[in-house]
Amino acid sequence: MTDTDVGGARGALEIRASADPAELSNVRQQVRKFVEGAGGDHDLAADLELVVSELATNVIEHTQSPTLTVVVSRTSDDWLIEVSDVGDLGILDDVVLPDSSQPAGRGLFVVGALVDDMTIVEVGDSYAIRCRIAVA
Amino acid sequence: MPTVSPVVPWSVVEVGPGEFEVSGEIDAHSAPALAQHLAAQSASKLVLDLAGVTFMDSSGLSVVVNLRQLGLTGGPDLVIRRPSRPVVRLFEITGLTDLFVTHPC
Repeated sequence: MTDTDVGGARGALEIRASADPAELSNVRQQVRKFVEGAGGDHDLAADLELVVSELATNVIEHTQSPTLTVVVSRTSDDWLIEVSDVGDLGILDDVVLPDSSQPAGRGLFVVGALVDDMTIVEVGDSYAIRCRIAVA
Repeated sequence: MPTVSPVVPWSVVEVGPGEFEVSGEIDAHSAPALAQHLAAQSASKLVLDLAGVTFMDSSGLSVVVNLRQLGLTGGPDLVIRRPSRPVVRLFEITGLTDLFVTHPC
């Protein structure tokens, strides 16, 4: 896990971890520390933790990738979150809230509710879900 | 009073018949064990005190939605007591706030 300055951003956190649920707590802890260190308040840090947790869980449960990569950065205008790998490139085509009786399937809906937009982007030889939250 | 999974950052403690205090982080790592533990209970009512939950994502939400469904089909009725801020936030985002009988912090 590294803190880096990349792409003109004011700061960035890059995390590479095994695609293992046991890694989720540590990943979230790193995200919280970065966001609060980069000027985000408690509520924003909680939102970014939730976004990253949902997207990382998606990698773990719905792709064959042995690793997950999380990049969180802040520019003057935005917070950016990228999580890879993406298994199904059509994963964002039909994000709906399941019926209240359905136990599963709310992860991407939760992400969509917390961010200003989310897209799939090509990153190197893989794909990531990129989310943007405007700086308040 | 059993405590489950002392290694990872969560716990469930039985504080009375069918009453449990859940604490820590409920995610894809902890949710399966939490679900398994609670599904094994035989009480007619299941009360979950969630005041100590510091993080919950949709994996945790799946646990409580599934428990509610079990209650509607002959399993123990589910009561959520003192949901913490992260839990309330998740209920609000997913439109499930009115689904559960809750007693706030």
